[in-house]
Parts: sequence; structure tokens; C-alpha cells
Amino acid sequence: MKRKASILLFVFLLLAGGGYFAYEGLKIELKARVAQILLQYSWHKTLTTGKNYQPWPSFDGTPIMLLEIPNHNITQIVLKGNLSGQSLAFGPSLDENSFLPHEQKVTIISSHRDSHGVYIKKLQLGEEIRLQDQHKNWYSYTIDEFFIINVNEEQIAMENDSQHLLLVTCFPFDALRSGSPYRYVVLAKKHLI
Amino acid sequence: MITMFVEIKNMKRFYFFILLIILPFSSQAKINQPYGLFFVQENELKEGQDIFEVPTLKTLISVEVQGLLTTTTVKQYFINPTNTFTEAIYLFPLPDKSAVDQLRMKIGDRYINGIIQKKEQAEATYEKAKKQGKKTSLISSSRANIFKTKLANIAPGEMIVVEFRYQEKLMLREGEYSLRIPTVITHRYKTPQDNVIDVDGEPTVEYDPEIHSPINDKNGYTINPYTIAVDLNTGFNITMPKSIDPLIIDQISPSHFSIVLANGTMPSTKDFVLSFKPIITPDPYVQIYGEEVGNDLFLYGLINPQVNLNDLHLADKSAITIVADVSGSMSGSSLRQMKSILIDFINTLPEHQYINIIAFDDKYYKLFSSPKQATAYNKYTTLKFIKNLHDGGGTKMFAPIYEALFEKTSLLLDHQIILMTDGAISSERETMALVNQYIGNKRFHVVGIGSAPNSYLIKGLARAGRGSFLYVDDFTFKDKAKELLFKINHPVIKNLELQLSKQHEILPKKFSDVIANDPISFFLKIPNVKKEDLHQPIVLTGLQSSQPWKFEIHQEDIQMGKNINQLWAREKIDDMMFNNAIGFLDTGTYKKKATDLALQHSLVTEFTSLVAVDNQVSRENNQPLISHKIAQNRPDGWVDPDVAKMTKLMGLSNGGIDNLIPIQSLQRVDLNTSPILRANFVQTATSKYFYFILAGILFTFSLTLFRFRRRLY
Repeated sequence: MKRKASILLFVFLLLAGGGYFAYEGLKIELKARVAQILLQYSWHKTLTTGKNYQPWPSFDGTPIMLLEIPNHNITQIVLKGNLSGQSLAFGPSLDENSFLPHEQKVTIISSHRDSHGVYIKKLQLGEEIRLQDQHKNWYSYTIDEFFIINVNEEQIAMENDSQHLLLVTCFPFDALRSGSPYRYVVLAKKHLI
Repeated sequence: MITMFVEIKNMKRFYFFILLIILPFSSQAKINQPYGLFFVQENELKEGQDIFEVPTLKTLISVEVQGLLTTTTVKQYFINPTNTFTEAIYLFPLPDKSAVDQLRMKIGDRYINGIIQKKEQAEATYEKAKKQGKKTSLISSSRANIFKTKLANIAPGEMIVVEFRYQEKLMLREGEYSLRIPTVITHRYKTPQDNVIDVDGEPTVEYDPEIHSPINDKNGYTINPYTIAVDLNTGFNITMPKSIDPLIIDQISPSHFSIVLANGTMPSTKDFVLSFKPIITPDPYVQIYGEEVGNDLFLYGLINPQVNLNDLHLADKSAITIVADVSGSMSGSSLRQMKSILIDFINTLPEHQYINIIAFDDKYYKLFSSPKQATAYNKYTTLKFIKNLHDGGGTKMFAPIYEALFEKTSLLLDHQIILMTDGAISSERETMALVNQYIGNKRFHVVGIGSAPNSYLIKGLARAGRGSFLYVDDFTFKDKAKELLFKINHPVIKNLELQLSKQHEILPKKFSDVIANDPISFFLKIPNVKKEDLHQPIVLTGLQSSQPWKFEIHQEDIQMGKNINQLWAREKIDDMMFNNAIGFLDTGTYKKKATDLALQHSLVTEFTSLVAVDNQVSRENNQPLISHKIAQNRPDGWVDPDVAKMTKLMGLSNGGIDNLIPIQSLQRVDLNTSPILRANFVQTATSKYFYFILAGILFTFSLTLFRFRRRLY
């Protein structure tokens, strides 16, 4: 009987462990999904009022753009990121050292490769990416180049005055754990009107 | 990928190995920005335009050191290797806080001097001269340490000499002075984030050998020899100057050296750094330089209290409040490191000290309502509090800082606040303004953690809080943070103040405490006064180990210096910029005041530029400024006869360049005309699937085990 009880205990321990990891994983998944719904709502408010609107009080990012990729049915709210990347859990984020499309400079958007950025690996040359700012202006970009960089060793030389859009996500796409120094970068050129 | 072996034998034993991928540390990438001279192929800079790097022939640098102030003149020789008139753009980095005050352009035997104008006005002057076909150049700055020079109407094969001058202070760290000369052309510097108070005594701006120019790797003319001559006259006795480059040193007196490179020239592959130490005397030493400009007297002072770290006494009674960031962005190793430092710190704290901790994410959690004495019991409570800290939530820094600033402590206590954060917050201005306004006699220090701390916020907070700041990463966290905790708990001189019976303006307005070997430096402007009128001494007072400390500067201590007014103006503009950032000075006023100051002291700032215009017309209107004939595909090995001639001429006149590789072709480069863009490559992946797989395995095991149990009976 003693043996039976101890095995039962072991079973429960394993169950609890499994439950914990399932919880951790689901938390990430849920955060990403629920947040986008709330963000869509607050983006709608932003568009109608023209002001920044916080989706929930303890959140320290603000929705600032809408990202649309027609070929892949992507419609996501881009957050004003902060240096920590905390907002990345909730949606793609604008690198705060880069610029908004109307500033006519480089725009950099980072996404998690396994949540909002899953589509990034499927992007093809020549596809269109559209951005909408909070004044309802649309900007359109065409994918021009892909490259992979190691952030510990390499840099990107880029023209600051060029109006490119860079979509950044972690690489390799199928790595199980986070922490890779590689980034997959999609470079899209703006349509100049 | 994860590698996993699961082997089940007779349902009795399980072997499983999980090999985890070791987490590589993440770090931000630095964006390359080419520096140097570039030819532009069209009149205006546009996207997709072809830009070519201009070969540099040589660089001459001469530095004059008077006391602690340096005047550096950089003379660069370029050549137009094309067969058309061209416009060139020239970008160069300078050490932080250097004041560019002179620009000259040499055409043939004539020098054309730049004059200071408002930025837009200067731009217009330049454009006008360019259209008229006159040689013209413009020097402007869009950031503190990045300068841009434009040159128009350079004739084919013509040699161009650009000469500019900047003022700077020698850097002093841990008792060693250093002079750094950036290699100007095509080299990268670490982003300003790295220009930090570094406890290890590293130079504040370091050349980073890791950052290679993509252009440099490819092209053939990496050789840009430069010649350096330093006239080092410190006014106090120093040790023999050192550098990793071989030097020829001529000692004129114990305080005066003349230094040139032993090999005559060196390639521009690294920075030139010269360092020396003062010969230590037991007394604190003082260096005061003065200059009379107009009716005003400008002074620059540096006082080193010369206290050995081991002689420091613990501040008698002090209260330390640690404001610790435990938001989601601090998760993982940052938080673990912070906890272990705090635990060490608490354990070593003597009983008469007072301590409190305020942890925050989007809410804040106070350990005690006000700092409590570090008795064994309180320490125990504190340690328990630290161990229970866990990460999560957003970052709302305002409220906990407010709490820390308004904590009630006994008046006898010296209150130090230490903020530990990665600085990812949104209400920067408000937080800085809060600290600036309510700091009182407290001190606010900041430890920036992680790979991408917000340096603007961190520097600003430390400045507002009269404290120090440092950056730490995973590797240095422990040592550096410990050292800071030690130093701020053992200040050398506190409550430093300057007294002068005359009307004066001092910078910095509020002194921070002198900690360990850091010197006190200040700029002073005394209007309508000559040096001879200073009959009464300038008195510095403070507290050294709770005892009054006093230092007098007499008129005869003041040595005459040069360009101090420009350094003063630079400092003043910096101060105004800070006040503008925290909302104490509106942008309009700031712009106006800064422009006035810069125009008055002939400084290149974000609002003012230097422009030089030749009075002769070089290019007739019918000649194009830039021809599209500049071939993108110039055949390799083809050398423009004009260029070859010029190269040869220069080779004869200067021994340094006859080993030059002939200029083969122009390289296409990317050109950044605006500030460095530093992309912040944050971690863009989660361990979601890893968690799911682990959960799956554990569930499977529990299920098999459960079945196994049932089979037993």
C-alpha cells in the first residue's frame, strides 16, 4: 500500500509540474491573443478621438499604428514599444529609436516569431505591407529584401533618410527557447507618391 | 532544437535526459554609420542616390594641452578623383562635449574662414554660394558629438584641405588623465549609451575594435595615415605620458612634454589614446584656469581631494532607500543578480545604518514605511522581503520615486536613494522633473541594468538627483553595483558649495558629492570683472567625514587659459537643454537662449552652423556641379592622371603617403545624414512551445505511471 501511495504522490507531482508548464505556455499564448482584441478596441478609440488610448490601466505601451498585410490576412495593432520589449508580449512593437512613417525615416517593427510574427517567415518578395497611423493616413511598402543578422556581432548600415520599413523577428524560426542572437529582418521600401 | 531521449524499460525505470539550449545573452546591435568625406552625385540628397566615399590622403592632428584644456586642430587632405566639379559631404564624430569653434577651408594658398550663423541662415548662405559656383563649406551638428561638413564646387583633381578646431577637457578617471583622438574617418564609436561614468576607469568614449566599417572591409584604400603632434603643458608634474602606439617624447620640463608618433604616421585603424598620471602629493591639488572675454571673466576649476579609497570612513549615519524595478522586463537574470547584490549589501550593513526598499512594477511595494535601523531583526525582515520579490507587470516608476523622495527620515540622517532599473518607462520628463524639484539634501543614484537601458532617463535622473549613475550588464553587475554601494556610503566631501562675494554664475548649479577619486570640476562666469579685481578668494566649502572642509582659490592660483568661454557656453547650453527636457524651460526660450549663446561664443550647436564662402567663382554656370559621368563601374586599376599626379606630389612633400595604394575606384556607400539610428533588437521570441512540450512530457509520464500503478494491483 505504501508503494501505491508513493506512486500516486509521484503522479500528482508530475501532474502539477505539467500543469505549471502548461500554464506558463498558455499565459504567453493568451496574453498575445486577448491583448490584440483589447488593442483593436483601443485602436478604434484612438482613430475616432485622435488621441492615444491605453487599453488597460497597468499597460505601459500605447497602440500607435495598424499593420496590414493583405496577402496573409494580417491585421495587427502595432504598439509603441519600450526598450525592454515588454510590450512585445501583447503585439508587434515599433522600435522607439525608429520613426513613424510620416517622419519619412526608417520604421522598425519587432514581433515575436511565435506569436504575432509567425507570418514573417512566409513573406515573399514584392508583397505589400500597409501601415495606418492614428490620423488615418495609409502608407504602403513593398518587400524588397530579407536578411539575417547576429545582434551580438553585426550591425545594419542603413540610410537614416531612407523611408524603409523593417520587420524584425527572432531567428531561427523553430528554436524552442528564446534568447537567440539572430534576427530575421524583412526590408520593405515605401511607395513614394 | 531540444534533444530528448526517453527510454522505458520494463515499466520500471525511466531514463530521460533533457539537454537544454544554453541561453545566449542578448545584446543590442549597433548601427553602422560611415564617417568621412563623401561625394554626392546629385545636388540634393535623395533616396537611392549614389554616394561615393572620397579617398583621404592624410590627416594631420595637432593638440595643444594647456593645463586640463585641450585645443585640437584637425587638418585633412582630400582629393577629388573625378573629372567633374563635385559637392562633398563630410561626417565626423568628436568626443562628447567638445566645442567646435573654427572651420577653415584651404584652396590653393588661400584660407577661407567659417563664420557662425544660425543654422537655417548658414544653410541658405551655403546654397546661394553653391549656386553661384563659389567654393563654400558648412559645418553643422545635429547631435552633440556628430558633425557634418559640406563642401561645394571642388574642381576635378583638386586637393581639398579641411581644417577644424575643437576644445575639450582632459578626462580624469581614477587618478589618470587621458587624451583621446578619434580617427575621424570611417570609424565607429560606441553609441553614446556607452559614454558612461565607468567605475573601472575606462575612457568615457571608447573606440570599439569590433565595429568595423562595411566599407573599410571591402575597399583597397584603408590607409589614411595620420600624423599626431601633442604639446602637453599641464602646469603640474606628471608621469611620462603613455600610449600603446610608439611615441617620441621630448621632455621640456617635469610638466611640459612634446610628443610625436615614433613612426611618423599611423594608419587610422584605431584611436590614439595618451594617458598620464599626476605625481601625487599628499595635499589636494587644484587647477584653475581663467580667461577674460569682453568684460567677463571665465574660470574653469578642477580640484582633486586625493583621498585613498582605504582611508574612507563610512558615512556616519545614513539612510539608504533602494528603489528596485521588478517589472516584467527585469525578469530572469537581471532580477536574480539584483537580488543577490541586495542580499550581500544588507548582510554587510552595519547596525547604525538605516535601510528601506521600495519595489515596483505597475504598483509599488514598500518594505518599511520609512527607513529603519539595520538591526538583526530588521535585516531579517529585509532579506525575507528581497527573497520574495518576483517579476511581472508594467513599469510605473513615478509613484515609488515619489514615495522615496518624501520618506520621513531623521534630519540627522543623510538620505541616499538608489534606483535600480532597466529604465523602460514612459513618463520620463515627469519623473526627472519630480526628482529635480524635490531632491533637497537627498541624493539620487541610478544603476542602469541590462543590455538596453534608457540612458537619457538614467543620466537625467542622476543629474537631477545630484548623484551618480552607472550601467551594468550581466557580467559586471555584481562588482560594479557593489563598488557603487560602497562609494556612495563613503563619500569624501558632501554638501559642496562655492562662495564668492561677487555676482557670478556657476555650472553645475548643484554639486554632487565627491565620491572616492572623482575630481570636482566647475565653470564660473563672473561678469564685469577682471582677474586683478578678484581680491577675495573663491571659497569652496563642504563636509569631510562630518567635519567642515574648506578650500580657497586665490587670485594667484588662477592661470591664464584659452577658449574657456566656449567650454563654458557649451556647458551652459547643456544645462539649458536639460532644463528644457524636464519642462523647466520652454522650447522656444531654450532655442533662443542657446542660439544667442552659440552665436556669441562661436559654437556649432544644433541651432547654429559655421559657414565659409570663397569670394571667387570657381565654377562657371555652364559647367555642371555634378556630372553623372562619375562612373559607378570605373574599371579596377584605372587611375585618373590628375589624381596620380596629385598623389605623387603629396608623396614627395610628405614621407607618410608614398606607400599609398593607388586609388582604384570609388566605393558605393550608405550615407547617414542624420543622427545615428540605434535599433534596439529586443528578444523577439518566447519559450512558449518549450513550455508546452515540457507540460506534455510530464502529463504523459504521470499517465503512464498511473496506469502502471493500476497494473500492480
